[in-house]
Amino acid sequence: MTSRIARKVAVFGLAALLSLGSLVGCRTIMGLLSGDLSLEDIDKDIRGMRALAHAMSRANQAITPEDEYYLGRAVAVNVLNQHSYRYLEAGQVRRGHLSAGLTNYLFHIGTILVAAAERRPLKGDRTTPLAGYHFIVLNSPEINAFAAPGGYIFITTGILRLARNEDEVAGILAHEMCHVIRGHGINAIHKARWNRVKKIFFSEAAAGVFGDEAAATEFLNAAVSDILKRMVMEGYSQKAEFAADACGMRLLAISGYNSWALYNVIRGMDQRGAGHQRGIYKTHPTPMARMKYLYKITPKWKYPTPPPARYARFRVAMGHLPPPGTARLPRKLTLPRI
Amino acid sequence: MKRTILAGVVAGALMAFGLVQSAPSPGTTLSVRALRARLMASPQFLGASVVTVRRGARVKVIGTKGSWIRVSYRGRTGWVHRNRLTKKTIRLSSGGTGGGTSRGEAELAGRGFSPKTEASFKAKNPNFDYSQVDMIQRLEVDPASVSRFVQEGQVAGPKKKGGGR
Repeated sequence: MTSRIARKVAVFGLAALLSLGSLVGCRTIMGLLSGDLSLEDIDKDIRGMRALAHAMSRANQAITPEDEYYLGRAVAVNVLNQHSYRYLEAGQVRRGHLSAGLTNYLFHIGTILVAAAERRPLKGDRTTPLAGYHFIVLNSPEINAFAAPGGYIFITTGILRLARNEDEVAGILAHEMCHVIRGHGINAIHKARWNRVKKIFFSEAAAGVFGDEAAATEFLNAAVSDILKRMVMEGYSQKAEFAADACGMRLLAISGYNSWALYNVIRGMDQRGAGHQRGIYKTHPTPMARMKYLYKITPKWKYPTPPPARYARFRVAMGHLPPPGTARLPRKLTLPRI
Repeated sequence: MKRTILAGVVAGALMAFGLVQSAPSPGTTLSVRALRARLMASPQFLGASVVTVRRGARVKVIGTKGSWIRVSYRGRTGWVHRNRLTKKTIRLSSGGTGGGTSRGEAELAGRGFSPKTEASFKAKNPNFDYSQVDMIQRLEVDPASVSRFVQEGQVAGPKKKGGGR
């Protein structure tokens, strides 16, 4: 069965390349293939591609990057409120320029992953949010991370303490970024909500001239509630979580990080998170199920041992984690008024 | 199997068609769609940048390379990824529209949501502190610093077959 699918994927890829080659000239294709391990090889070796090979949902087509910007801000403000957010590195945040510390470290890793996603987008990927990605550390003991539309990636100090190296941090960020890239937040908006705003979102009318401001505001409130419910309380669907694992592992592979890092950090959750009932353990498939899936799809590549510098900077960044005693659990989520 | 081959051929044709069709010709003027876009010294995401341009800025196309477009802006030239640009003209708002868009800033309105929608959302939920989101949104790192970070940590993928990378 597996070999049949692999053959199909290979034939599909080859046919696509051949037809592309005939149109844009074979030299380009040969150039792409000349490296020992090209980006084409990456997609050939990853067996979870079928899970990602779906077209963009209607909801995702309706929400333009400009709409996603407002939606993301409204979801983010709720999450920050729930966590009584305090800037971890207040001075840097106020200046708007990151130079050192934990947030700066996450932004560096995140930017590498964004570049990977943009270098090799999949069918149905959303483009990078208009304001880029934002990596936010929440000082919470919960082992948790979540992603809001508009590129807001929240990561708790609880889950950061589980990571054992830079690649594992990248694994967590890559999984979360994939929820944004694959539009899972937008897909969480309840179907019935769209009825009232069909004319606004599913027509090609020029931006800002729809006239029904009250309906748009009501829809924003409702959409934010739907997304928060799924993102924080119930979790995205199991299918979405496995898709984010496949997509996240692929981002690691493209970026140059160890594609096994996501598997490894989930194994850490399984081994060291025993007894946890909150956060990721409540909203995601079991670590064991995710490990089984990732084991099946992650290419069996050999990675060189990372240089000491990569581990050293990870230790330095983790040294900026606030003392465990200062972490606070989030308040119960209050949904915006509809 | 036949269907797979056909789908592959169609996908390949579409990819090529998309590339040719959406590559803007030199001399065309495009607008910056992203809130901020860096003009890069070379057509890649990480590395040195020439200047940062804001949403709504009009840039002139000089040439293209894959998904990258070489543009000029106020006498400086650099590469911008296609995703950051649009053929549409982005208007500058003429007055106080509220919701953080001040006079003279490029308009940011989608099909349904606009600064007005955000202003009504804030009015309904006065306990939410948008200033934190505004501050977070301003944070960014220099892609040149990220490029050094990649080299220092040798984030370079698996070993080549029959040798190290």
